[in-house]
Amino acid sequence: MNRLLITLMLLGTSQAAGLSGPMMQLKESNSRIDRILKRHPVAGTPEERSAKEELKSVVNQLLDYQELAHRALAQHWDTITPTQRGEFVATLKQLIEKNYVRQLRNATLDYQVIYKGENVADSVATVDTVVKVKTKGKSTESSIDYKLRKIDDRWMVFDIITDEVSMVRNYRNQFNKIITNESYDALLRKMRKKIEESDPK
Amino acid sequence: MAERVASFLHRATAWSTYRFVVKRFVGLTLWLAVTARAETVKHTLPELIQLGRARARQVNLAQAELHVREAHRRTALLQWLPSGELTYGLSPAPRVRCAVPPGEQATLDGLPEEQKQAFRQNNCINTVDPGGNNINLIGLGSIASVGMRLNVSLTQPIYTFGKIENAAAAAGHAVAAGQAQVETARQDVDILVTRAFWGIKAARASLAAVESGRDELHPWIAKIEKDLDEPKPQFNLNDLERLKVALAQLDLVVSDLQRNEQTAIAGLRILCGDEVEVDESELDLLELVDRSLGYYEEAALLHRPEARTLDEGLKAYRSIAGWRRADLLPDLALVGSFAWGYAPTIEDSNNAYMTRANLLGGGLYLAFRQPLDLGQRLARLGHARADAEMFAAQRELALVGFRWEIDQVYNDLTEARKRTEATERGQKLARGWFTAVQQNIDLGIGEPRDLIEAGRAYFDLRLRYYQAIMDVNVNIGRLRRASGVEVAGSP
Repeated sequence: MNRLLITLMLLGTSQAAGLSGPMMQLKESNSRIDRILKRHPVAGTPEERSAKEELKSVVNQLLDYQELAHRALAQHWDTITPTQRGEFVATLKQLIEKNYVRQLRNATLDYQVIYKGENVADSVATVDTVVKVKTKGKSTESSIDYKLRKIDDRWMVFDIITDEVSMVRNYRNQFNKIITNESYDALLRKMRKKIEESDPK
Repeated sequence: MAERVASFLHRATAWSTYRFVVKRFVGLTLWLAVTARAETVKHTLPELIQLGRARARQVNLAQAELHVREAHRRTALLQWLPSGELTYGLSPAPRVRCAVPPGEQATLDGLPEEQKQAFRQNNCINTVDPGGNNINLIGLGSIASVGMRLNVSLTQPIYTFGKIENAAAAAGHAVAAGQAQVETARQDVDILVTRAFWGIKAARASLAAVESGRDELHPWIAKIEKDLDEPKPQFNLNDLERLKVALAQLDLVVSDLQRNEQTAIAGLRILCGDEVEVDESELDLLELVDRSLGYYEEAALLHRPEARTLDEGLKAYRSIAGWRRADLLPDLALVGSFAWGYAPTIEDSNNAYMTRANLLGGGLYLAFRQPLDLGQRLARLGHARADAEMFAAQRELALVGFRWEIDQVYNDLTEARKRTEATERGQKLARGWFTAVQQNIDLGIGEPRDLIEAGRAYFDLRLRYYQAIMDVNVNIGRLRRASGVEVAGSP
């Protein structure tokens, strides 16, 4: 269930050039990701590879990794070099990509996204959604709120709040704990090890 | 040798017969099982309630009792119709004629037979057979014709000082009470079906949730077991044992839930039929319009079937007392009678005071009947009044009981609704926590023990949430049962 939620956290987001508001962009992107996820390609086939690449492309166009990493590292962002920052953002991006791509095989895709509203203040916006996931016996409803910022003409997501838990705040807490108790290098090591482990076949 | 062959053939035949029978039996059993499964029909709650009502023995019994009471009421109402009887008889008639008075024979000589007969009947002081002999038993036995007799008597009540009215009213109230008892029996079935329905839904939703939890744990256990075999494992044995214990605990929960589900299904099938199954709708929380406790308490007095039974019962007892009071008073009635007799071989005397075999007559009179056993009747009146008083006291006691029951159900419902809100919020928060831990694990910076803790909280609250939804839905049914009014949102 929560695996599916993680997949769906990006469900409402996509590049949507030409659409004015952040919510409209989310709605547009919804159908795009939905189509990719519902293809159910057979593992190891060219169709699966194509779907993975397409999904990665969508995710990359949506998530503002730089901002997510900056906010999650918080005070530690300023203590690392620009090279380390680039390295960290690339690692984070790689992990998130892999996790989303993995869901292609795992996700049970019987859901409905309900857009509750948007709140735009200058170049920052919040879009509130509810994802109703059909499960046996009783559907579950999760609130997923997106925080976006406008970069050029595009709204990009820098935080996702699932059932009142902010992804940025969660990462910030965990990153801080590891950096404080161990080191920044230890954090990066753990993340890289995860990439090696979860390298999809 | 021949015996051996015969024995072998016998055994072979017996074995093939056995195999044939077993195969047919197994085939039949499988066919029945498949047929039974195929015939299972899914129903909504209202449909199941209708099925349950139609099958319920207690409803049938209450309806049979109602039919008896309706018959009593018809009997009471028809007391206004006249009562009486018609008797028609046929009998052999001897030839009997009036004897000519002594010394009058000469008077009759030369007269036509009609005049002779008229003279004899006008002067009939004795009867004889055609030979002029006195009538004896032997003479009576000589049948000459068939005699007929018709008697009709009717009594039409005019005024009974309330006897019939009170009897009819008592019977009418008994019928109304019987109708309320039928409704009581139906509503008892409703609540049993409702409990079973939501019990099945809750058990299945919970099972699905727990099974999804088990599905989450299995890959983790495999992953940690593999990791522990590595030279530098990331996890330790505690992590593995923690997961395994969590899995065992989930297995226990599954076992418990499966028992609950099977019990609820068995109950539903006893109530509604072996072929029934609940529909595919989700375990949704029924909506309820907020009404005060006082509303339901007042509503129960008017709408709860048992309250109607008690009200009508009290009225019936009071009507019976009125009937007993009227029993002390007289009745006025119009009484009519009619008689016709015909025996062609019998000559009757024209004397009005004589019993006649040939006759036509009737009468009509106003009758007044006053019972004189007033002592006994007064005692019965006292008894009836005491019964009415006792029933009134029982009614008061029962009404207090209803109020107490409504208070309890209302409180249960209020608590269940609060619990639903709390567990819904709790399980959402726990899911957020679970998702956050999963996010960390996906980045390689999380701990599986956190996942267990968050998962346990999530599944625990989720199951409690389902239980709370079931409790709300069942308590809505109970409140409707206790108050007698539709509680908004209830099926």
